[in-house]
Amino acid sequence: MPNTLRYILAVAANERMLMYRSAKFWVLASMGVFFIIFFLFAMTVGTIMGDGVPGEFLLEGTDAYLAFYFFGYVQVILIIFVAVDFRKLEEKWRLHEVMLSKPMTTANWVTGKYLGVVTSILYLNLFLMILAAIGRFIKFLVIGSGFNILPFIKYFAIATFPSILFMIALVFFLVSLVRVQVIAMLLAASYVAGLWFYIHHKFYGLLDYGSFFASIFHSDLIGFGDIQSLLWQRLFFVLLTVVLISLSILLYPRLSQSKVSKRMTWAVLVLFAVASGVVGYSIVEKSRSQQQIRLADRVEQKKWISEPLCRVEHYDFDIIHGERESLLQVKVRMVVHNANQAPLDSLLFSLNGKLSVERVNRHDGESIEFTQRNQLVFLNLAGNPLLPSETDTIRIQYAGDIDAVGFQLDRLPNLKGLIDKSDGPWIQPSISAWLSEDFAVLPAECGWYPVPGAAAGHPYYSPKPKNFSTATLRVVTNENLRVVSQGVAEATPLDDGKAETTIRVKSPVQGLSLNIGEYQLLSHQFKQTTLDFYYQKNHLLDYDVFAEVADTCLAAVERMLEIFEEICGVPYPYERLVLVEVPLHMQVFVDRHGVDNVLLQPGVIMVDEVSLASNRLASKVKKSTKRARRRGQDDSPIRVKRDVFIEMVLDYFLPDNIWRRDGSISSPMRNYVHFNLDIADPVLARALELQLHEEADRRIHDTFYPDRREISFSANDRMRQHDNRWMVRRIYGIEIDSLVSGLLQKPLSQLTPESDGVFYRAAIDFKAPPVLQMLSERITPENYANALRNLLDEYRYQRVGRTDYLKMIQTSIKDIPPDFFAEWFDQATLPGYRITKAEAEKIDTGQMKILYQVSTRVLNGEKGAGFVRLVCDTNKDKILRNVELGSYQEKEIQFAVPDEPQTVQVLPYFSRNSGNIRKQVSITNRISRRTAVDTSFVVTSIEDSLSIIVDDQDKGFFTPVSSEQRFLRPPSKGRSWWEWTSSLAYGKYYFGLHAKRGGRGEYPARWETAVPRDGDYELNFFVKIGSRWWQRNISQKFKIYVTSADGTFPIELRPQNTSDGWFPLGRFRLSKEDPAVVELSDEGNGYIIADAIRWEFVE
Amino acid sequence: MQITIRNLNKVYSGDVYALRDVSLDISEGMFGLLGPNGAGKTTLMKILATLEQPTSGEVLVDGENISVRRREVRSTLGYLPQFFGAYPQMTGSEFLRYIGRLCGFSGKALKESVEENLIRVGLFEVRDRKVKTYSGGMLRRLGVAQALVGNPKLLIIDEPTTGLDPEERIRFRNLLSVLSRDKVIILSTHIVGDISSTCENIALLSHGRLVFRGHPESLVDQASGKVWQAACDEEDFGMISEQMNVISTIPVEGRLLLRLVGEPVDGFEMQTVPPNLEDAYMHFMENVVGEHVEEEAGVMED
Repeated sequence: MPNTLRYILAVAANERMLMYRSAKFWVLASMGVFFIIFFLFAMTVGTIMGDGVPGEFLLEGTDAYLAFYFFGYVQVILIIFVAVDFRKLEEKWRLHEVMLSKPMTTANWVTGKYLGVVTSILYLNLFLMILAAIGRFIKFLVIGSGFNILPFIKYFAIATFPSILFMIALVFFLVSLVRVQVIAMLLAASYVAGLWFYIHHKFYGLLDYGSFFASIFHSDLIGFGDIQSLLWQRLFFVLLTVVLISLSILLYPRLSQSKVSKRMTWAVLVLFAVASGVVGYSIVEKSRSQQQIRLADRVEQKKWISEPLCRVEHYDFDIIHGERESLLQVKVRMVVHNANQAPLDSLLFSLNGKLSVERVNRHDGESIEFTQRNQLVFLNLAGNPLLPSETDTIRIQYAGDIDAVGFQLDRLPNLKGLIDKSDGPWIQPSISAWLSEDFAVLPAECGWYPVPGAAAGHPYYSPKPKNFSTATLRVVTNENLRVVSQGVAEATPLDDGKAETTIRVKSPVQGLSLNIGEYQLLSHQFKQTTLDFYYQKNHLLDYDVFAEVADTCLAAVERMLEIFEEICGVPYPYERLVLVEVPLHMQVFVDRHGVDNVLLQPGVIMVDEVSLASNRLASKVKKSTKRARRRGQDDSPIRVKRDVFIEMVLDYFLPDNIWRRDGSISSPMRNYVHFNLDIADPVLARALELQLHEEADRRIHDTFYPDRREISFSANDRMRQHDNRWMVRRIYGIEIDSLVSGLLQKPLSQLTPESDGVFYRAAIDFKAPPVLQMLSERITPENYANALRNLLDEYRYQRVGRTDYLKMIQTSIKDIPPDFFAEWFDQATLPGYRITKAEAEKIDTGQMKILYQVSTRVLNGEKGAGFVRLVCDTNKDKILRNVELGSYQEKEIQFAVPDEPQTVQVLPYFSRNSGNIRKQVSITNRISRRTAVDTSFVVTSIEDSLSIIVDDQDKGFFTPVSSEQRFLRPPSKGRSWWEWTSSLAYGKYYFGLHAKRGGRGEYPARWETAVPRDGDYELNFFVKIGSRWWQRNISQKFKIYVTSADGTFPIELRPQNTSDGWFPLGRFRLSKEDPAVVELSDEGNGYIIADAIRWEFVE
Repeated sequence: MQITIRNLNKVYSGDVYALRDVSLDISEGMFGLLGPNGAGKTTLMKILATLEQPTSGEVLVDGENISVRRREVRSTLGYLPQFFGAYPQMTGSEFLRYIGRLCGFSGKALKESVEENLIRVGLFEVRDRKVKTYSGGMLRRLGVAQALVGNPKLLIIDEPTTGLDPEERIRFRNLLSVLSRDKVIILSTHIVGDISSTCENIALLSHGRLVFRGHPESLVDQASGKVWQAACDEEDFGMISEQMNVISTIPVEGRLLLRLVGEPVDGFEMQTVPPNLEDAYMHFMENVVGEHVEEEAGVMED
């Protein structure tokens, strides 16, 4: 063995031994290992025991990834603590002079020490890897989820090992450079913190040393996906490691062995510095240039958006998939038609940039000249143009790979680009298409086949016209793979282990997708639709639990399809509905037009493998049985299994969770209309898909779970009621208050993705779908469905706008004003609702029956038309009424209910209200003998005309700001009164109050208003004490000063004594010339509450 | 092996001279380096051990400049610094094995070398105990052992007997005497006794200068007739110690028996005694070097 190696290994072995014998190493390592063991085993146990574990825990690569991902962060601390000793250890034990007088070179010494730390950390990681693999093996044994050791090795080699190498080298270098251990530790820790909070995606992820933000989650379907750029990034860190170690050697305080060894170190340093620089630069430059190319593509495509286009009526594909030299080889025969007035002497198609066109011919074999650039293919027909109304056949032959991220060029510039997946903090999905020898996910948008016209660059308000066409696909691939597209597939075996699958797409579609993989298939024929489910072997576990209730389950799906039909007025438009499992990496970009559903394909629903794997069906059945038993509900296996089955189906059909924004999963409903119509208005397009989705959600839940009343209002409803403020912030990156205030400044029709960024998306989702739902309620859902059927009958496969849509609505109900959209989409108004009355009296109808006559009033206190659902909860039922309210209008609604009414609630379709608008119904004991009334009428509100209420949220409320000198510092300004949110507080649209701990009267709260006329006014102070805490802690006395025309009067009230909230302060003479002022002193022995004051004109 | 030091200077920042124009020739055998604290002994040792670079001058080992041929020097070097410690969590034998590997040993040779040196320094019995349990003397012996592990041709030992008990010190001196037959051993100390019994040649350093180079006997000769013995009362001790260097003071029957170096003080009965190396060192440092330093100070003032 050469001496150099001998020295290095000796130092390394010693370093390792010292580390293993240090308490510091074991304390930190144990903390990290314990954390991981706990996490992995808790999740393993959770996966085995429960059904609520996220799906990624069942994927084969999960345990390896989680282990390394989390330990990656933990071990940084370990590395920093142990590696930082590398120079000081010998000095501490007074050994450095002995060591440095030994014959090894400084390079041997530093490298040996480095290797010692690396190997000790490495062994710890290997230990962890074995533990994680054991966890995975237990899952495999117990529940049969897949077991594969390769992800462990791959993660380790790609992510963990380079990061260990680099981080230790970095610490060595920092210690050598700054020579103060604490500073070196802080610098290293700062880098990690900086990476986490700021620089993770900067420079195209170049500085992400641990691959924490890289897309390397292991899919069971395609492995890591495209990680070529990641491998380059890892190489960059390995090269940088050598640079840092070389620097550490040169900076080490020891006389060099010889000039030769010093020069060699310099040579290595320079060589690797250059190499890492080249690699780093090329990574950044490559990503940058790819972006530039895409920008250039978009600019070029934009030039051609006005070009007259042909229409492709039919595609006839011959596809060879999976050949090594060219993954996709396609010959397509297109039946093209010129629907323009003028002849077309050139045809324009868009095609993915990595697919190269080899040959183009006419039907008679005549060759057509063509050029391909910027994802566009130009066919020159100059000699033989396509005449108006003429139909011809053109053959195009092309081959190549797919640029998986080089399409969808119209991405929202103000957003990050990708939509975040909510399936876990660690998944960083990044591909929108995938093509390999044994797998393919090619959505229509990726441009895997030629589509007329430029794909990108169209103005926001004029999206690209869709091309509806039929197709025949013949796909040759390995016989173990299944091919999925829109039509019905038939496979025929060929020689050499290949098979040809023929798919006929008989109903025209606006986009063709192609999925190929080693799928299992579950299929069932419903009345008119075949439902096919393509899934990976290990991802649909124990579904045979439904065997005994198969008929019930299938009937439920049948019913769902019927519900779709009832809502849209037309049956499901394709002969086959396909659910196909796709890799978890599948992701979409936020698009200018389609928002988040751009990868949906007609007839094919892509199901993310994560959501599929999460269905632990047997476990769910067991859990649901227990729950039903506990609640005294029907716990028969048939009922429970049916419910579990429906929930599973709904997970794919109607993800009721609006918060899941991964566009690869969605319902057929949201796009039911899209695939039959070409909706030109982007606001209407989004509004319609969401409205139908929500309506289906409501109806299906009402059908299958009539006893779960709260579910009948969708997640979107809940969002619009503002009781999920943080969710809105998380999804849209915007505060609900900003959203409301933005909608008061700009109507929907003036919003654009370019100028409004995140607000655009939030505002459209917030207001547009409820406007259509409101319309549906106004004309009744049955009429609305008729209108949609008329729309589809008349405009199927055609471009439609708002006017066409409204025209069809008006065919059902004539009284819909023609300016409906002008009023709701083009006006910047937002109603605000209040319930001003909720009373009931018992009535004897003379038919041996006592009813409750409910009288309730709803006020729209703002400018702009309003429409709300009024819900009355009785102790047995819910009564629903729709109420239309004009600007500043108040309506009384009267109806009778058989059971005792509890509360009335206003469910606005959209409003500026925050929280629930609910009021307790007060019932008089007197029984009147009269008939029940069911009516509504406009009332003139006394409250509005003769009373003034100033709430603590209004402009007339003031609290002083304290300014305090603190020692020698400048005076600091602080808030004397704090704002609280409370359901008991008075509020128009927001229920809040101001409170302050009792003081000396220096900071009074103040209400001020101008009364409309001179005279006597009754004054009331609002204070309502709810919880025991408030009752214990509120001040016993409130001191109030009322300013009137006769002077200022002090009043004392005891807040505990009030009952309904309004505390009478007395009658005062007020002049309209002087401001009416009420002051609440902060003097008291507990908390003081300032909420609202009411001035009521008396005479 | 022949070590030649020529015009060696070492200047630290702030113009602090650690060595001034030192020239020496050292041959095989024991070579003692004497001098008070701060004389430059450790600096010279560090330069010889290739740990520091001289500001000017050169050190040749067998004619090769050690600034150029550090690797060769380090491979023939055993070094025990003034302050020595070891990894406390290792055992004595583990530590020596590690050092042995760094000296290029492996396998059987390593094992033999480690055991041999453990026996030499008397640590064989405790070889498997953690270093942190060793006493100060044991640790010092371990330091000697590590310096010997590589079977070095040049052994540089800085203050080796500090912390050793008399028995260990004697054993250590004997060990060095045995080893010095085929090695150059440079022993730096301020304990004169260590040198008197072992070194054939010595050098005296003071304020970075070489002030004496030769056999210990010639240093002793210079002190001949300058070493006295006297008995005095306690009240007279102050007067005598002001005018002469007191080497030792022994209370005998109510009086003090003094050993003194210098010119006798009138009025006291003193007898000359034969000087030893310690007397000679004192005489030399006080009278010869002291005058020299004063002269130098005078020159600098001029």
